[in-house]
Amino acid sequence: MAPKPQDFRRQLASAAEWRVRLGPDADTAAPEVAAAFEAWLAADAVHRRAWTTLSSAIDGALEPGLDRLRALRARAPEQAAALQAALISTPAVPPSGGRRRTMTTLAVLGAVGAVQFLDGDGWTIPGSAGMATGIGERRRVVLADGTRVTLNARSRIVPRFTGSDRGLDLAAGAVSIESIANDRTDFLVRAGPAAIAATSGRLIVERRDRRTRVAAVAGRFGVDSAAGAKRILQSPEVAWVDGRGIEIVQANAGAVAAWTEGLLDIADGTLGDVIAALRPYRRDVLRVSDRASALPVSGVFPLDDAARVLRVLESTLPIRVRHFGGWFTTIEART
Amino acid sequence: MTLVTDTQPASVPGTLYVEHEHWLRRWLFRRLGCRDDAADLTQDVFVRVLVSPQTSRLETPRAFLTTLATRVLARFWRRRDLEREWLASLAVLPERLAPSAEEILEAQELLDQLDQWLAGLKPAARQAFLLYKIDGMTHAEIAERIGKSVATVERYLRDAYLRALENRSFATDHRS
Repeated sequence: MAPKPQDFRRQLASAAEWRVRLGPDADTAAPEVAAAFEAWLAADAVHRRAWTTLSSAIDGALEPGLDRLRALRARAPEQAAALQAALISTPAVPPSGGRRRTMTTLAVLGAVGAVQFLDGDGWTIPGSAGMATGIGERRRVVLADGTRVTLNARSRIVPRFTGSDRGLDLAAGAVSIESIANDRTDFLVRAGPAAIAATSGRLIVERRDRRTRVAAVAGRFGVDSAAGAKRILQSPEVAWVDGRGIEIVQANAGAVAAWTEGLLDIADGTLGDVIAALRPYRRDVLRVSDRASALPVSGVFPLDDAARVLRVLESTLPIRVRHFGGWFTTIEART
Repeated sequence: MTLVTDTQPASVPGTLYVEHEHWLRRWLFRRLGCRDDAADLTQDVFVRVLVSPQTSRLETPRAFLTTLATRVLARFWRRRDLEREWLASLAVLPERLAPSAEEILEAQELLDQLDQWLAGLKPAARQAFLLYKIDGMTHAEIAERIGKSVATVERYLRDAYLRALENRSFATDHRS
């Protein structure tokens, strides 16, 4: 039965209120808020329809625009600030036919200097404030010293080249450091609790929650933890660094690097590993229950078709995937 | 030109174009004072005619075209205002931070797109929404920054979501 229009409007307002209450990331929403939200969704089909209507408009169309502004903010904060200021302070004027205008726009554009941003073969040069990638976007970057790196989706780096300090900070996501330029000083990667010194070779550094994963794809690297631990990492070793120290784990660094080719290579992993790797490629929040998260998974999956990966997993594992609008997806173990 | 008047029913968009294009272009030229802009916006109006649901039989084609043209014109002025405001903020930046030609085009498009989504939302609510979405501030941090209560900030955010939903069809309109 179709609801009355005014009732549906009220439910849309409720859906908007839920979005505000859940906050920017439903993963970190208080459990009681998340539970209350799920109860609200389940209480009435109209609630779900209102939620889907709102979410598809926000996530399908508004968020991509906001993503572009966020990417601009990471790359050129001053430009983004100017854009935000214009959006806030330009007064709305009622349409009127007879206003006289002068063409000042072009004159001002002519005075603005151009900045080289892209070179010939798709490599990008980051601005001074660093560089960020959006959802599902990977990007190859050439740093000021000639070192070539690739950013995974939803990642952010800030290069450092001042005095004798050479390297980059990984603020979020993952980065593959592919060809390190020769120099007298080490190339130093700082990522949360880990610091990695490199002179040559190839390595992957990834931040996940409060831990950092380092994979030595080729070569030897010195790894330091914030807690004071030191290790030499030799290809193909993989290490997790957290607030307590450094732990070398059984894994193949080459498989860790598969995302640079758009693939996810999981050998003797868990569903939790797959979901963690898919998150930067999905606009919606993926919430996986503890039981489902521990399920063993092996396979190679295409990162750029995350929706298909979820469908494949649902057909091969004892799990149930439920979508709530375009924004919230739960993965639970089937009982 | 034919002898079509406003009281005569026009049939398909093609006929509408043949019979009223010249008139519409003059109508826009009188308001813009620029021949090229008038020609561009005329095209834009007819694109809207094509995607408009009820053009098969129009009793008053010129009134219909004027309505569409008024909307196109309002958007045109609005974009000019936004760009001027944006460029004024940019003008104070040192040259090395200035955007490239490519970035300018991208920013103009982004500005226009987001402005359409947030149309009808007052400046304080826009500010709250951008601080939340772009700067990643919490409700409490925004409240302190803009000098309003947390409840007000949350109402702003809710309003922004609902506005975006309302503006959805409008924002996907063809751009001029």
